Amino acid sequence: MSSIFSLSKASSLTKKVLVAGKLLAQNNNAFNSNIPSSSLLALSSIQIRTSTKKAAGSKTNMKDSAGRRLGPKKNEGILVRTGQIIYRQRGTKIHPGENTGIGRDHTIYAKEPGYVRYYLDPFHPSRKFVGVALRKDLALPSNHWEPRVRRFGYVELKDSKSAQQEEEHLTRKDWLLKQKVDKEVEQRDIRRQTKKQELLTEFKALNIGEFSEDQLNIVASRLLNVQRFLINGFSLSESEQNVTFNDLYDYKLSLKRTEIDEAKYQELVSQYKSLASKTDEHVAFNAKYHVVKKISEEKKKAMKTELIGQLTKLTEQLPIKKDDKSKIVELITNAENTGVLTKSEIVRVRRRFLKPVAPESVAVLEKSAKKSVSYKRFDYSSNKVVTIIRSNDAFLSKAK
Amino acid sequence: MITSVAKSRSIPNVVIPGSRAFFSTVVGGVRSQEASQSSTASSTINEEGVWSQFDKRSESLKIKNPILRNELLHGIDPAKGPLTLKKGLSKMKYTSPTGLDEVFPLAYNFLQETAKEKYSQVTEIESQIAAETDEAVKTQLLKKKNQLIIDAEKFNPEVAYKAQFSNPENLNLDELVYQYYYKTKNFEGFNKMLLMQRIEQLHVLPDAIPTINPSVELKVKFINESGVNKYITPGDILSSRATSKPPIFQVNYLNIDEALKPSDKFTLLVVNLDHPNTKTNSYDITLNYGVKDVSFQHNNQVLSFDELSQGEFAEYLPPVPEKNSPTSRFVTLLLKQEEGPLATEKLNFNRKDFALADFLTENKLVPVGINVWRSKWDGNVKNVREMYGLPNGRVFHRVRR
Repeated sequence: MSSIFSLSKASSLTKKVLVAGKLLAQNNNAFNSNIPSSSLLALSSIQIRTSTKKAAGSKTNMKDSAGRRLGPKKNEGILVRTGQIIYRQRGTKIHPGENTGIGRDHTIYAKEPGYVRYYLDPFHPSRKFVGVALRKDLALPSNHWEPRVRRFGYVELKDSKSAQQEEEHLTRKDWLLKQKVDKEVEQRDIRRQTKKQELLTEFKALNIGEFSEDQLNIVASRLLNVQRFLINGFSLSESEQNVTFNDLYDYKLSLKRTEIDEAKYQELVSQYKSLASKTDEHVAFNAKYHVVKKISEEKKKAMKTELIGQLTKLTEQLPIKKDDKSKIVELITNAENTGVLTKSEIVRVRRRFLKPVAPESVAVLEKSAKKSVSYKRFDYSSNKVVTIIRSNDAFLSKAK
Repeated sequence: MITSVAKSRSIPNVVIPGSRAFFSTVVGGVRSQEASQSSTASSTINEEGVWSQFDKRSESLKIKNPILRNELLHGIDPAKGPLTLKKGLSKMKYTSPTGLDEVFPLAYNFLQETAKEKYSQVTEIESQIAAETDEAVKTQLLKKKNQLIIDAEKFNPEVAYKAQFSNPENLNLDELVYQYYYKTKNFEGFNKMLLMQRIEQLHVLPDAIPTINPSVELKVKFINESGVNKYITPGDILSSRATSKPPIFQVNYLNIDEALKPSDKFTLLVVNLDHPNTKTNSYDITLNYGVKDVSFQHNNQVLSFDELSQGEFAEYLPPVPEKNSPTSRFVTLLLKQEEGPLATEKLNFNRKDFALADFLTENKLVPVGINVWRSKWDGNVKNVREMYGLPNGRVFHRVRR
């Protein structure tokens, strides 16, 4: 900046000096100047340019907008309604406090009806706040550790007709969803009924004892509920406990509704408990959630070891023959149906005894034959890809 | 690409540096040298130390799977690869970190020796506790003892492995060291942070209680016909059907400094913070469920409804929010009874306008655990009201004025 300034000064100086130079040339003798001639020579080479146009700047500066009428619209202690503007500002000179909101242009407005309070908050020491106190006697900021003072603000519909209308009102989205849900619930109930009948026939097949029609109905719904808990990952005992709790709680609620008296309640409870213990004693579920006869843990363990023994014997001779394969499948299916094996145990047993391809210790051919299959695999010992030829016997699906 | 692979494969007896084969030769060489130089060098772990005496210590501190345990303590057989990797190729490619196999036994034995020292200090403190009569000193000593037990087991590889990789629900939280790991990793590392965020954002603090630093993890699960098997996430909005019957609770006492005493009793409250009061044009707190003198002896204990029904002083009332009223917050509080069992006659409360703060101060109850769920009106509320024989709910105008 200073250099420009000195340049303009210098140009005006040259002008004067040049004029003086001309005069000097004309009357060399008339003036005996103090200026040395060498400096005159140096200055004579600088060009000058005079300003002819007026510089910009004055036009907009003359414009002045009207005041924006910023500042408080409602002062301390004034009663405001919801939505009334409390403070207009550029930026946040004042921050929105309790029961107030802030607009796009930082206008602070009331969110609840109440009394305006300008205050400082010790949690934000550098800020000023404006809030709305719900009551005249309340000060802001409110105590940090005490329950908030809140306004409910909804009006109860006293007229029974309009209340009913309002209660039944659904949004379009909900209404559309309800149609679907109702249909699905209907279908689910039908499914449950058929499932219940299935479980009941399975239960009857166990021949546990004589049951009346009512008792059978209770047993069937109990079995259905136990099955649902099992599917959701509860253990059998947990499922039984949960169903007992739910059903007994229902009796308790009917007692509470005074549909039954205390004596009847006690009778129902004892009846249910005896029925539940009787069924729980004999009934279990297999891996496919069908009703089976309960086997004691010890017996189950013995049956498992026996099964594994049988399966090991059948798979001693490799590759597995067709007859043996069907025997193995039969044994595993039988164990699955009787509930000896759990779901994960079945998977493990199948993996162990029904290998789709026999190990390469058997059924490997030197040359490819008519009934053989060849495949390539990586041999880790030689670090090479090798071609293996297997006879059809090696594959369980092609077993003879 | 294939040809280059085939080339490199075809080079006979080349051992790639850094590979398992290379590593095993190096390790094999070192091990044989060590064995020849000195028999006292700790090339194997000491299996008769404090960490291996399972006749004296809980089986839960041991890795059950013998193969996995062997791999962890004695290194991985290069021919077989680690058990935890499933793919054959991954098993083949695996190399244990360079030098780990040599350092591991040395480090294990050193840490085991340190643990032994810690255990000897524990026995010393136990004798001091037996001789001590001053309660304050006794609690200080107990605190020190608990810390020593944790320090002795914290770096046991088996324990650390189980704490890191097994399902936290299956950890035996009665062992202090698992309690320590569960507390730092699962509770304070995630569950507590989530819980605190929810209760602060939903203004449970300070609407229910001024503040809380939960030392007990309180989990809530609803058992009903739907068969859903899930502990609620704090702040979940649940349907009226889901909450129609009382929940069961699971408690994990994670206050390591102050061990749980058999005489410790707790009160369990479920309160609704948002029951509309049209007279005051504000909200009331209602008591939905109240159980006193709850005790639990070990962790991961599920407090079932049958157990809770003994101390029940306020029967369960399900959430039945009214149409067009805002979402209600249902807060479950586990409170420690500072003065032992509570007498039912002395309990003074109004369920419909429950003065929670007064109830806590009057009965000297200190909040130790908290959970929250939310409920709002749905089409099933009517059925729940019928179930419990409750009158019809109010209906409010849709627009707030």
